[in-house]
Amino acid sequence: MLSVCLRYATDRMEAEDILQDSFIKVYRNISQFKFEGSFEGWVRRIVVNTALKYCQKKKMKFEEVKPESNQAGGLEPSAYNHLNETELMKLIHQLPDGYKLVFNLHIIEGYSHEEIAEMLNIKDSTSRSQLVKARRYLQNEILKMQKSIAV
Amino acid sequence: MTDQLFDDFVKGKLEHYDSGVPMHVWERIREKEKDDRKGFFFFRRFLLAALLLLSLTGIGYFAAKQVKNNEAANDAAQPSATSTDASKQKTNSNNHQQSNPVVQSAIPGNNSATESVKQTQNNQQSTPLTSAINKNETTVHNSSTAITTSNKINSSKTKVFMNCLFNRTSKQKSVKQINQKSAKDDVAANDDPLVTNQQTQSQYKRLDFANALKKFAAGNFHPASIPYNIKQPGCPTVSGPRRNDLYIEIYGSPDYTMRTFSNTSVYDNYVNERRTVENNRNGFSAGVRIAKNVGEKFLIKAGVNYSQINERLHLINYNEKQLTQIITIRTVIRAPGDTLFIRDTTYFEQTGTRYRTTYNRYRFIDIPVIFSYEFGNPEILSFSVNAGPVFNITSFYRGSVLDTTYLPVQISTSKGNGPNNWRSNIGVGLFASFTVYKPIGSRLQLFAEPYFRYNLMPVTQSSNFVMQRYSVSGMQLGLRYNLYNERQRYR
Repeated sequence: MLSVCLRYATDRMEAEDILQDSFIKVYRNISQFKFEGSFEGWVRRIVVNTALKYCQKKKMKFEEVKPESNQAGGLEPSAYNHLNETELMKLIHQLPDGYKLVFNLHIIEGYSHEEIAEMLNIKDSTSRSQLVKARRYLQNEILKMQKSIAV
Repeated sequence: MTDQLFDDFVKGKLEHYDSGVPMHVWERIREKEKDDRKGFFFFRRFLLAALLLLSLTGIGYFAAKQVKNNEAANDAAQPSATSTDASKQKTNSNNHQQSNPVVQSAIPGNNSATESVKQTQNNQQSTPLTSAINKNETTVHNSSTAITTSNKINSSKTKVFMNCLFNRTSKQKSVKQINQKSAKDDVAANDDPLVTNQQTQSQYKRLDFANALKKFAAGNFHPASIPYNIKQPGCPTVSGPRRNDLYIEIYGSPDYTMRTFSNTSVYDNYVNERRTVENNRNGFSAGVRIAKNVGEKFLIKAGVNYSQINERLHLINYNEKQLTQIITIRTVIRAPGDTLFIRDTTYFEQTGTRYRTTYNRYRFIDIPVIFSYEFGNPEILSFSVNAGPVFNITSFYRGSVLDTTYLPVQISTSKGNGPNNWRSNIGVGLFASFTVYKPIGSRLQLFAEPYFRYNLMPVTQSSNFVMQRYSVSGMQLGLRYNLYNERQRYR
């Protein structure tokens, strides 16, 4: 669960705080777990909700970040082979806040754009555009990494 | 690679990616959970105590009311018997023309309520009488004529008694009002309302008054027979206060403290860390105050209050490094007179977990000025609602708090930036409480007072990173001693 927190938090300390608050909530509300789904899924949802609350406290803006160039369209699948989880996490951390949230919620947690819009109090279209830009941003960053390795 | 493939790749990599949770996070969660549970239990206990107190208050109030009603009924029943004696005596006095005073009065039943005194016994009377008494009935009516004739009172005892009567009526109802109302009521009330047990309380009071006067008229005046609510000889004057109490109160209280942070937007993590490591807030307060009544129900209290908040700073460092210097001195005697000292210095580094606990003490000396409204029966159980400002005289602290680098620093009251700079005076606070008084002697009362105090100013200086404020709630338990026991009051 700490890795979930790390994807939303700005640093490790904040991630630990999120984890702490989440587990306190889990302890307090354990009686509400109905054994209808997986326990991990239930805990994960609490962790994500807590992380979102932390993000909302920071009054995050869904700003547009101009990509330097869009060269990643034709990136070969082999380009990802060397990429491990830690590096991927680092790249996600570099994303602007809005991008990061939508990317995490949609791609990893599997929420739909409608659900994300409701959770973050934004429009569906904003969620979609943020996701597209996040994806491009990440792909560009991976490309840059590729080039630096090649050199 | 398409977007879908990219998404799947990221999801596959990160969905079940596990980064190990360090031990200290679990430790923190466990600590926090323990504290929360403690807080919850304390709150529940506090809630139960408050409910118990409220229930006791309610029961006490109704019990006091019941006792008061019973007393009133008893007092009303006693004069009724004596009034019968008095009427008998009066009958005798009329028949045999004794020396007791006889008064003619207006008879409400005849619709002549303001008829003046027509005659007195000319040569046989030693004391003129002034009140108007219905000969056949127990109801007494003071009229303007009666007030006029009161100038003729010679006896000092009679004067005091009359003063009591007039003072009482001037505070509660004017003589005229009583006459008008009682005339109407008594006509309906029939000949002898005293013997009826279904009289209302107001009627009883009026009849007490009447009977006292009637007994006086009959010459059977005795202090013990005076209704409980007429005190002699220290009757209050018309303008003077009836209650003249001066109390000294001493108390002590276990306190529970609530801490709030503000201006924390930039320092969320820092504040969270402090919330985690600083806990176990409790404290106590003690004080002494003087209470003086203003009128019958209101009191002003002022005194000195000392309060202390205790806090525990508990730090765990899982990566504490301890450097130990080891100096080894060897002595080599190569030949007699040739001694060589060899000194080796080495360092030994130890890594481990360090638990560091600091007990912080925050102390405040204040002057509370409290306005109080008191009600209930002071001889059984009385209550008061209190509120007012609390002026801080000085505040002093001992202990450590975390700075923004999460290292403990000493609290100081010097000026400047930093999380360790606190105010030496926290200004004005607001105080509210509810008190239950139980008499345990003629002048001594035991009291319990749940209270809440909100400090308007934070303990930290304005230049500080975060504003830290304490609010205190507790239960003051103490004793109240009446320094001036000349109570002049009507109940």
